Amino acid sequence: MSFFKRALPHLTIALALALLVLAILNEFNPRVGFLQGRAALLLISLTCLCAAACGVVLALRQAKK
Amino acid sequence: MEKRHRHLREKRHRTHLALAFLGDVFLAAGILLVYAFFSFGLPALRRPAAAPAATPVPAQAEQAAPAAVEPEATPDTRTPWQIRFQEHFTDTVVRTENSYSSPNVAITVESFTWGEGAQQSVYHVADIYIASPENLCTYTANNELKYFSVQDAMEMDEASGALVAISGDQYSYQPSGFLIRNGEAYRTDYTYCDLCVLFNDGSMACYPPDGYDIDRLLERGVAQAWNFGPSLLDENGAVYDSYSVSTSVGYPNPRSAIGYYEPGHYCFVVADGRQEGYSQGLTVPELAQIFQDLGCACAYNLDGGGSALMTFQHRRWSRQSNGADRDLGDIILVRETEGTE
Repeated sequence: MSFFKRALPHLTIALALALLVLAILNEFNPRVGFLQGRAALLLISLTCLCAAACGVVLALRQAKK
Repeated sequence: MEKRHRHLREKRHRTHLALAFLGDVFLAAGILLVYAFFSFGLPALRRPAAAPAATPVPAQAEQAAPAAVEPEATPDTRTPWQIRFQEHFTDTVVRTENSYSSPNVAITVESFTWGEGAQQSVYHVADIYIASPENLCTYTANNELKYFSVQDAMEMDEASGALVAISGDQYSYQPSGFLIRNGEAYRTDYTYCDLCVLFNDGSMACYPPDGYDIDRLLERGVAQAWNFGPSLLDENGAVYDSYSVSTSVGYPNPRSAIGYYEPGHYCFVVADGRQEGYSQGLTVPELAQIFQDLGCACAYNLDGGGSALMTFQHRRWSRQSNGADRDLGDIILVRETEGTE
């Protein structure tokens, strides 16, 4: 659990950076469909889940303080 | 001493933090590589979708346009389109600076201006009449159907024998879609963009992403199917109230598009753009307005931007925005019937 809590913020940052790169690429060349398809949907879903989990962990930590 | 130790600890802590964030960046790069493999690498390795038996182009007697046959003593061997558009064809090949006519093909290319001053854009219209569906076709890069295959546009123009050609839909960069080239199916998937289909009988139609059935289209006989869009005109040949395009595509840009009047009569439109003082480019609604003004029944946007190009009689007719050819996946062209000249 402690490993998960330590890795979660880093995973969230990495997923967010990856998604940001794809969003920028998609803006310049939408025909390739960087944000279309199953892989993109999975990436977006994982990013959202990790971000939500990060938020929950942070909120719990703040509540403990 | 304690201060020094604290300082060293803080420095080590900052270093660890920096390394951790650097690790995040590398992890992001790794995620992108995995994404690229599953999104583009795997489809490229996979065999193309099984092509249905290529539907042969019907005999000229089956062309869609009704024939206005004039009573003559000897049988008329002309195609229905040659009869319908006879005032445009000539008995021999006649070439001028901006036109080409023969017994099988009639092309006139003209350039126009849209807007004024800094908003000015230059666009080119190729008005096309053909005698047979085989005169309007596509040529794919390196004469093959392959993912990521591209080729110099002028090389394709030369190799295909094009009289007039424009950029296609960059099919080779698309990982999915309903893509048919010269009757051969490259992909038969549904996709998120509007579809344009040229049928074997010479008629053309555009469909929204959820507005067609692939099997029914194939049964009817498809010569070409393009995935790019959007479709520019509604069923009445009028401009839509709005167009769903991304922000960067919605700005004035070089454009490439195909229009359809009736079987045997088509047009190509290419707009120059991104060239300050010469031509800024057209927005999608402006491009649609041009086709409405031309009187087209159907019109479809193709790959513009740096790809937009029109050639005529083996010369670049339009002025590409990036100053030189961008390699293309395919071109749409009109060529002579085999055996002519």
